[in-house]
Amino acid sequence: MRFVLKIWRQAGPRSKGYFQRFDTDQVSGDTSFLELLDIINNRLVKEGSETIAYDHDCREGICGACGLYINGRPHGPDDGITTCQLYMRRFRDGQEITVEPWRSGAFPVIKDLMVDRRAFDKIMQAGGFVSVHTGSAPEAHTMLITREKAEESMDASACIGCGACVASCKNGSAMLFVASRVSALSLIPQGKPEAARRARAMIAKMDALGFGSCTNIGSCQMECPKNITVAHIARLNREFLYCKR
Amino acid sequence: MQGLADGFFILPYTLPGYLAGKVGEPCPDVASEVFREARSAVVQRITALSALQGTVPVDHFHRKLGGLLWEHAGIERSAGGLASVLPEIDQLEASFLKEAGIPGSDKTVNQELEKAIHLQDYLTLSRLMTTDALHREESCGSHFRTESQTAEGEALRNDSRFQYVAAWEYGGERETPVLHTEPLVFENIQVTDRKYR
Repeated sequence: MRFVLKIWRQAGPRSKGYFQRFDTDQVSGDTSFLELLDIINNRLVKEGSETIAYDHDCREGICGACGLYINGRPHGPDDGITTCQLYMRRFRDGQEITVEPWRSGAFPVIKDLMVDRRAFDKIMQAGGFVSVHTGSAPEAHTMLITREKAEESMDASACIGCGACVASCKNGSAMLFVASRVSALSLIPQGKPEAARRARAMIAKMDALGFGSCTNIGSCQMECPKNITVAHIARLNREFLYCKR
Repeated sequence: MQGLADGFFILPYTLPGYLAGKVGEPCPDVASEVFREARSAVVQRITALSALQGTVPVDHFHRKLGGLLWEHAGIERSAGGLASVLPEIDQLEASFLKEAGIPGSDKTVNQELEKAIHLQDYLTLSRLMTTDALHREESCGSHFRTESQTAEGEALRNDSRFQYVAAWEYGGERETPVLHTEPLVFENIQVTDRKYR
């Protein structure tokens, strides 16, 4: 297959960026999107030109490192997958593909397609944890949790912290990310004692770091590679109201 | 497994344990001899790698090294196979230093440079893993040394020679590592063999 890629290049956080065009030919449809970037990068090394910087790690959709804006959508045209799970067969032969980094003020560009997502770590450090020493796994039936609650908590825990929710949001809000963390912990007994403090601390940190407010548009839910729903945002709002009392 | 075929591995918990004991201790000052030595070693290494002007991407050598170890130093290994790997690692390193290309600068994020640094670490690790595997002339744990098996094809340990845990001391690039051992003493159980039949 043949593709024309327009890839965002930016030398550093303060440099002016631009789109660079790359023509690719004889690409197998089974090539993953990141592998195509590797192919282009290998070509650049052969030419002695600087390679395209982009984040990646596990390449199986569980680490949250990769995240690209592809043809105007985070993680590309398909639902429920990360960039590394996208294959070139998904595109038309000869198609022009625009590749950008996450676009959000709270995620400044480090270089090319690589952005600084440390803001998420800072939000987690503000309260996204349970601060009791749990030791090794206890006997499963010592703590009664209904199946529904356990499932819901697990659904929220599926968040990989990739940042697609922020990148897709017109307000640059991190509500879905924070909601998934707060929800996962507030649904189970281990997270209850600190629930109020957690919601307040994480929301305060999110605001302080320059993430926008939620206006219930729902684009985060549409673009989340783990299909996390805005119902968790509702739960976060409730936790927040409780902690105000 | 990842350490074998990719050069990445998880630190044993003893290391964070050791470092945790140092929390609160003052860090060496940037003007101290220790700091300056470490800094100049890192700068030297980065400068040398940045100067590589070839045309072959680092990934190419990384994959080759992974393939070599996978083939000869994996779960099943033999003295001959292991011995053949060491000169091949040397050869691969030589061609890496001759043919690899690291475009870009060392003043900004440079992923090709990062890959090259990791490959160098992996080269060091691969020599150590192979040396250790060569030294342990028995089948032990999940590793099967083809020369050390019973007539029925079961793994055969050699407790009289190898019943110890081993740690290798790094003496510097290209220096032969020094073996330290600590005997395994079992007081309450009798060591037996597991049969897979």
